[in-house]
Amino acid sequence: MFKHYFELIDNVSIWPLISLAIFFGFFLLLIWWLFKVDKKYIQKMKNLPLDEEKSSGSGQSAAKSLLCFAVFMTPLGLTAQDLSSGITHETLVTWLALLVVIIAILVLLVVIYTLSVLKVVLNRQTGETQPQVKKQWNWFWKLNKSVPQEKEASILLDHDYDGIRELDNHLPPWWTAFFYITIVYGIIYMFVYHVFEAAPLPEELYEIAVAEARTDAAARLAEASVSGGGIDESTVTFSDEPAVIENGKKVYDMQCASCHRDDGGGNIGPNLTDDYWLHGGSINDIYKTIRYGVPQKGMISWEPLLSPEQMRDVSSYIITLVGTNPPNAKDAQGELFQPDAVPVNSEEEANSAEV
Amino acid sequence: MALEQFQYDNKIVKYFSLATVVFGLVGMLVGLTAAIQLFYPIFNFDLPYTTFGRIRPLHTNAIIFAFVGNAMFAGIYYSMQRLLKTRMFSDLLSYIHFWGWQLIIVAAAITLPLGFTTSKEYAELEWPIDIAITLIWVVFGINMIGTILKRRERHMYVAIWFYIATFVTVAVLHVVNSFAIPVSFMKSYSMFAGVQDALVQWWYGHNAVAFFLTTPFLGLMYYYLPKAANRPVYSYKLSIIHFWSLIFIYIWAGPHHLLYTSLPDWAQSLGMVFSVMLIAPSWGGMLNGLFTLRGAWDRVREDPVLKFMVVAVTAYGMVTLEGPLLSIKSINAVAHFTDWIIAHVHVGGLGWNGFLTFGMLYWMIPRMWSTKLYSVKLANFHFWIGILGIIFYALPLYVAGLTQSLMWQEFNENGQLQYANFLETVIQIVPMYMLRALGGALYLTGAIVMTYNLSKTMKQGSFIANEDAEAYALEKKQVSGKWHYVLESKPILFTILTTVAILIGGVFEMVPAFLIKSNVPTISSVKPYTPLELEGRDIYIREGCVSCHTQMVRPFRNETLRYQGEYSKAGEFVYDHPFLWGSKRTGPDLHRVGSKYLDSWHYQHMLDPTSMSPGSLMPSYPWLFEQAVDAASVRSKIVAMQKLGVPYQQGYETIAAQDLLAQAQQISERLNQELNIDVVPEMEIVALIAYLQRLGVDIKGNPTASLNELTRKGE
Repeated sequence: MFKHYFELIDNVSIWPLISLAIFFGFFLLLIWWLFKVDKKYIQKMKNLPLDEEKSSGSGQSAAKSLLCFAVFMTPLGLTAQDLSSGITHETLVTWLALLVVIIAILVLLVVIYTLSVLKVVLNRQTGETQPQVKKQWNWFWKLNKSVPQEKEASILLDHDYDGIRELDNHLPPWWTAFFYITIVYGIIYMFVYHVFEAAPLPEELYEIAVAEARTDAAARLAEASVSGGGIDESTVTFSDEPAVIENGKKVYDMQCASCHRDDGGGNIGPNLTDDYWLHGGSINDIYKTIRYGVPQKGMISWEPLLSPEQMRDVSSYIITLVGTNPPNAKDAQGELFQPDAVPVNSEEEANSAEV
Repeated sequence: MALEQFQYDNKIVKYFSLATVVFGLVGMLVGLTAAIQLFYPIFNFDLPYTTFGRIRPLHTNAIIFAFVGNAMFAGIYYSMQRLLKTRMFSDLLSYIHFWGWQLIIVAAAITLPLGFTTSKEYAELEWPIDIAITLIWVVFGINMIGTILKRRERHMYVAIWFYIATFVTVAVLHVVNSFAIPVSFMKSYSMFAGVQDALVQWWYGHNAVAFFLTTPFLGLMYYYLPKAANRPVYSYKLSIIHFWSLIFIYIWAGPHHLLYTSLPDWAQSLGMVFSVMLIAPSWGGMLNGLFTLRGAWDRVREDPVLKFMVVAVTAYGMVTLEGPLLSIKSINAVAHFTDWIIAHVHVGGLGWNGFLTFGMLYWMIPRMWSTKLYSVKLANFHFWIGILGIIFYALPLYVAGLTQSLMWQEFNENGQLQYANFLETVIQIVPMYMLRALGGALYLTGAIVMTYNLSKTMKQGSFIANEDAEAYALEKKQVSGKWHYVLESKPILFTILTTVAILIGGVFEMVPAFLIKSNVPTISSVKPYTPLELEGRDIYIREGCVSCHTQMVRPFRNETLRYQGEYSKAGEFVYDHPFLWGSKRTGPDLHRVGSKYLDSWHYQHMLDPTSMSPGSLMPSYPWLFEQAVDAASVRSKIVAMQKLGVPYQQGYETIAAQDLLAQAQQISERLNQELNIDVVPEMEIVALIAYLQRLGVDIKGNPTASLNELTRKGE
């Protein structure tokens, strides 16, 4: 059921390596912390009663809620890695790399946060005092240029709204910087794309992709002619090899059965089991009808959707349906076709049908 | 200064709270039904009123306007009186607002299943209801501004700023997006067409999220979170900066819903860069909320109210980071039209709006009934099952969205689509749809538990309808200080500045799109719809086909190949009142479906989709084969279109009905030839087939890139 997208990614190995590096780094930190920490503290933790009833129940809930967030966010990182398969644009890969890194960092922050909250909880339960905990968070509040909690009174504004007071902390510097960066990014983007027109917009990207596909198609054509020629309506031959027929049946059931019925008896499309054909009954004619379609009559061109091999297989399978006489088949349409007779004017017939 | 005695009106808060709970349950139940229909089509019940296309707008409207809307009003009426130290401006207006709003909801609940819809997302309600919404919104506005003017608190707290922005912007959005020409009592055509309609609609749609689901809830957060945590708000400066930057930038970001469509590139790029710039202002709200809890995290552990709020604010932060990332063009190319977007909005809806509402109710209701919450344990249970519900909802859809999108884009070594049959990519993700429904069911269970818990709480307490309060009267006094501090004491000026801030972005994007012709290059071969096609289009709108089918082939090779035609051009939609580009592909795009299949294919497909596409999840539409088109009504439709500038010749309206029948006769005859069945030409199915066969064919015949060339091999 699940597709192995990962295998399709170029340089797939780099992603697990980055993840590994991040998480390895994290565990190194954790080990370092373990050595650094007071052994008494670990002893205390060991002896903690982790019983919800006894310990007011609240501490673990908070820890759980935060852990839950870690879980909640982790898959974001995982799915983001799925992205790059099948997509060739380098820009996308770059963005995704950025996304993955950002999410990985976020996940880490949450995990660290969870652990420190856990620690607070544990401190609480073992009766340790608050100040020690505060110290642990100093770096964080420094990062935010936050006024220490004990000096809060100095920035408390002098009015209250229904009991709500307001502090007047600084804007977190990283937040301000990030805001400026996004604004600069926006200005640069608009200039690059719409003032200097230095990078391709969607329509142009589309033209580029189409041109690339043309080159690829030409390369395939050259390759096919070197290796002895691909299949087309003039070279296709009937094959009753089980693999061919089986594959043909698969294509038929998926694509053809809705109009020609699963037994070929015909519905919207004509009956394929009798000897009468609207556009010729030879393998070459059938192949041609499938390839180019008969748009006026609702038969679409399958060339963009099926490979030459698939069209050959399904043509062969259709020929095996002839003479099966399913019940309630549609009435015969078109000309009688006898397999042994040489299809004299089939080419012209097909052409005239297309007019 | 005289100390004045007055009373807060709690009864209106009670009314809105009860409506919140009731419509929350209803809206979630409808959503669960829709989720189940996506993997068990039998739950469409073969009835017009219960098919997905009509149920989906019912769900979105019920959640946005009934559940979140009532919660917003409950929260605002409770907090505003207290923040301004006064009773509401007028009790009469309060109750007109309440009953008017509930009537609108009931009208929506009746008309949407009946198929009365404009098809514009979150603005589906037809013109009479639109007018009612406008009136009731004005009532709310007068009541709010009046309350602000008679306040006993000199300065407006940040929550009030957000309430003002909400009122002003929603009014502007609703009025502009609802411009339409009525055709009959419950039918209208949007004044705008095609690209312009799309731009207006997503300016509205995006900012409905911003100013109906975000700003009012930020206001609520600024009241209830510090109240519940009993901590001062972290930073007044941050409040100011993030408020103004948020409302100014949000308005610009609408076009990110239209990346890679026929919208002019400059508008797409503006939408994208302003979305990226929106990250910091949005995060300002989250930071101010979370940092306010500094020193109160011990209480987060104990208090379910704070737990709900912490998750809500965190979900808000995650969603407002994800949203801008999704607006980056190359990521949007993967995520748009898939279930990823559904997951994204539900993290916002379930996490931010839902959890903040729950936290608020758990805090407010015991206070108004002067009692304690009946069961903290049950509230904790609600919290955890709610979290689980969000996870089970969002994660499967992230996987589903990515999987399907990657399957759409995958080419094989022959340069062909690996999954040429759209249905293959749908069947692949059905298990994810099942898990999603499980997530929804868990979340709904939590809401039911909350309902029980709250009703028990109400029973054990006694309701205080009018709560005594006292405050000093406001004296006339010149306020001095920093400019913003002064501004906070001048509500009218504040409202005007807010209005200016929210108008700039919209004006900048919409005026050029309407006035500069080069934005929508005309294509001479594009002609107006025939009367029968117009009827068919109205059926397409009525059945909500746009919920699952886009009409927008984007400039990607996998799409032009899959849908066998050129990518969609702006000039093709000039007669589309309203536009029907859609926003989600549960089924394939239909913009190039015209003349791809036989009439009989569509006939059988609409009667039983699985007959033509085995395994299809599309519902059947048997009633289209029994109901007749009212040929006479097409006259007024043509007249309306003429007024909108669609070039039907003068006097054409008089012969339109004749033309309609003639074309229907032709299709009926073709069906007879192809299937050997007699179809009454007036049947709705005939009109629908006419419309489908017309889609995207006007520019066929002068293709700019031949598709067959790309994959042709050896000739």
